[in-house]
Amino acid sequence: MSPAPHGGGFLATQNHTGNSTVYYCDFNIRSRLNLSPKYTEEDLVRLLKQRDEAAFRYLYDNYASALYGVILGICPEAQTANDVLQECFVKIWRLMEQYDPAKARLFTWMHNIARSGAIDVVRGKHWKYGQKSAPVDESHQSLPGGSWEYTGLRGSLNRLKEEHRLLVELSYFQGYTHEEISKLAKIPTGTVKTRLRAALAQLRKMLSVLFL
Amino acid sequence: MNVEAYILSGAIESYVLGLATPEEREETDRYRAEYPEINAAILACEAALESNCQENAVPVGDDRMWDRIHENVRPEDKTSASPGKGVLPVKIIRPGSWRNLAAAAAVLLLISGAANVFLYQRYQRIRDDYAGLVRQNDLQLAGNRLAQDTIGMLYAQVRAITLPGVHKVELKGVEGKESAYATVYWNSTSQEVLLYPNQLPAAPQGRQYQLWALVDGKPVDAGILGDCHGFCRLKQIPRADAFAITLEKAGGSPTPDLTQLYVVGNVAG
Repeated sequence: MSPAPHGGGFLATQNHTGNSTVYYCDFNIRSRLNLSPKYTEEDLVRLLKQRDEAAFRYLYDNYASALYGVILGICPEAQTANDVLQECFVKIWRLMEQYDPAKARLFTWMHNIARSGAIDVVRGKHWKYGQKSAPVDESHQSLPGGSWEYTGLRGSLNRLKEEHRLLVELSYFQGYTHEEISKLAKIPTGTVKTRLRAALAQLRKMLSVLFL
Repeated sequence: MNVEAYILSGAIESYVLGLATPEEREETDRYRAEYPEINAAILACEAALESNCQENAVPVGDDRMWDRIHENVRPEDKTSASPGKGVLPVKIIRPGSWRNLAAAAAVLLLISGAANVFLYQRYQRIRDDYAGLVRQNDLQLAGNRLAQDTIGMLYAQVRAITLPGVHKVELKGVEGKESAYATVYWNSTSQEVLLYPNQLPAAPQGRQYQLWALVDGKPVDAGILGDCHGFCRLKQIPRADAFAITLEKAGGSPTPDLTQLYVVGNVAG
């Protein structure tokens, strides 16, 4: 594999039903300015599986801030988020051999590690302080909402319908299962599933307008 | 099924963000393999997630972050020993047990293979040795049987010469053949003649010794001395006054060549 010929990100091309679609995922400004991408996703995965430290450094340089954003969205406290990010990269390194490119792209996989790491911490704290049964909306509002400017998914959340917002909040940001949400929000699990899907579709539509 | 509706339902987003239940994941995985459009939508959603996260990236303020990660990652062996303060310990589930089993099985297979080769070679060697021993045994048995036959024959001959009515006739060398000597055992009842060539020089090529019985002064052919085991059994002689041996041409002669007379002896009594 030769290094990516283009200058700013991963290129994923697939050809189904005769149409060739190109997905171009831009890196953030920082990485574009400071670091020239050296690897294709395949190369990066291969090298990481071979325990290549340079590739891991590259991964950190190009994805740490993106994952940090994901983590802060769930766990806004900077020190805790730092710990989560650190542990997230350690996990990525250690679990790399289990990563299956056929199931998810590298970033999707890392995103799930970051998200579940952050949720573990947040929920761990809730349980620790006996806040597990506290109303979810209140617990969320008690987070430093005023001082923190929400971005990404979190930022778009406020533009969703209330019922949708609640489901995304509980599911994505707090890691509750469908059954737990069903009990908390007192709605049937079937409704949780369809409503969550509808909320995500809505969210996606909003994000697509912004970023794609 | 309506692929388009499925793509727009939010199921794909739920799948990519890791919010789907195991059942939903399974369903989406199935559709993904079946419908290229769904697979494409999943990839597009993953790309969008990445792009969104990159756009909303927050620079890591902590300058020592990389160093701490690096420290945690470098000594691969010690990683689980001391998780840093505030850092969640990671439990690594290695899919290693089957590898160990496979390695053990491979080693056992190798050992077994080597043992097979070794034992097969030993088996070959022992089989050859065994075949050799069987051949030796057969030879010895055959030799044994031969010896028993010889012994049986000698007993029979000893019995024959010690029967009553057997005359022992000593044939002594004539002038010029003094060293020659033979013994005839003649059974006047059964007319059997046995001869023991005690000291007769080996017959030259193309010539054989012949025994004669002298009856009323006339020589009667009593047979040719071939290769005898012990005693030579010769022709039956009803009457004889004396016995003599001459060297004749191979196959014998009707009358003796007296110039080639070797030994002669009278029947006693």
